[in-house]
Amino acid sequence: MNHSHSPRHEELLPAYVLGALDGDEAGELAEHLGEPAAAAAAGASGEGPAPWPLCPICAAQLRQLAAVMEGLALSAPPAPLAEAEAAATLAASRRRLMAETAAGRAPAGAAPVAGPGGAAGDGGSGARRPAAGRWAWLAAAALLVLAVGAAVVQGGLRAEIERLRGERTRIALRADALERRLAQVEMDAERLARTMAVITAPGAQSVQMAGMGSSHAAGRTWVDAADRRAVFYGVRLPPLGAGKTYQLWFIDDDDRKTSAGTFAVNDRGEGLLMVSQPLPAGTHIEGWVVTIEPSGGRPQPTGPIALAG
Amino acid sequence: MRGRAERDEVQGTTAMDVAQLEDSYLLGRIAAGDQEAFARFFDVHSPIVLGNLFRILGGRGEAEEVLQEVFLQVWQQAARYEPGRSSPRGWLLMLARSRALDRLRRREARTRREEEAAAEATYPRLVTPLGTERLEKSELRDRIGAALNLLSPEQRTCIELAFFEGLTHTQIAERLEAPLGTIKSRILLGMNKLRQAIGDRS
Repeated sequence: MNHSHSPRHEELLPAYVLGALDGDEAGELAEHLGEPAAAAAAGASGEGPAPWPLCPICAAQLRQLAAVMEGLALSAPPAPLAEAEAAATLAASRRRLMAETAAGRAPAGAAPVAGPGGAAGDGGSGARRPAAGRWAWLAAAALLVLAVGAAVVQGGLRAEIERLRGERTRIALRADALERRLAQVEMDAERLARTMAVITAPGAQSVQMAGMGSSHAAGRTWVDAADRRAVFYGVRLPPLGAGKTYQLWFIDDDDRKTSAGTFAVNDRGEGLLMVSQPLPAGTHIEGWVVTIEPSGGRPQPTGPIALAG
Repeated sequence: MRGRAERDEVQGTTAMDVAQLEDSYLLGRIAAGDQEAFARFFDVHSPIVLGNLFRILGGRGEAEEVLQEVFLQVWQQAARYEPGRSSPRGWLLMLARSRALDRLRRREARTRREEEAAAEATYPRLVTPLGTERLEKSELRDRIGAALNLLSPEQRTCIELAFFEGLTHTQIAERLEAPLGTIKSRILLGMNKLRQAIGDRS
């Protein structure tokens, strides 16, 4: 798996994402990428949890090719249906999907539980008994049958109790995990809502930022003129080593640089910063820069400039 | 350098970023079981997905069936979306393509392909389509649309056969009665031109 990268791999990649490679070549590239050969036809869709290619050069190219595939799909002509017919098709599908998903996400199918299967004892039948002891014997036999039956049932119940306890623990753990995920999603949603509020505010001022020299990094800041809230979004920012962080600064009339906060980038090189405090009222913002600083940031820029605008 | 940005350019880029941010947010909500987010995701993307499915499968009934399967898969597997690989819309469109091609391969294909070959001359495959309001803002589609015009007709045909019919190099060579090496280089050059169009995006 993951032999060293060669130009031949790059030649195979475009046809690979299209699913156009024949068996041998598809297998060869899949092996290099560390993906199952069957995933070749699926291209960038990644239906299963296939590992992300181990080769970083191919990973970058696959991301670009995924965008090409998306663009090709967007270039398909619309369904050649009359507008009303297309609308009816979509509406019917929507209704069915809403009905199917109305009950929420179905939990993984619980296996039907085998019952404890109470066995019925058989008392048998005696031959001739002395009349005086007959009822006593029957009572004893009935008691024995009851005792055996009860023991079997009790054993079954105990197993059932254990199973239910286990189930309860699993559900509690799952509920905890869901709770945590919900909290995370809610936080993300709130952050996104605040970000969107700034970006889409009617009087938002936006400044484009570019990387220095041959850098392809780019970024943009938005400032809501009404409440002076600011948002920064950058792309193609290289990941930083340990102990480093990106720091955003705004520059005022007097060329003073004031920190607007620090941010990290994700594995796609994107960074998003919602500036925590409103920018000081009355300050004219002349420009923005992003510098690379030691972790935690610095009161004044000390490191190289990553973006300016 | 620093200073004011041009408003038009700002709005174009903002629309694209915001659309992708919204899609990512919606997928996160769908993964958490939010049906309203799912409905919104369906409303935004179902027209273009239906267009793709219709193009691959050629019939309304089957396209409608696969459309529902694909969105049901989104509902069940939204958590599997990997942001590092593609945009949310790209992920959705590739799920749809993959399912439609599977369906196509399962069919008794021969007769259908012969019928399609006859219809091919008049029905465009890749065009600059009318889209929903949101798709109108797609910078990606505009760039690919422009780049498609730079491809030679032969390169375009090869890419279309692979994309919409799921044919391999060898199958395309047989279909077009052309040497295998020629087909490989047409696809490579054509895809690289398209990739360049995406790569130029600032």
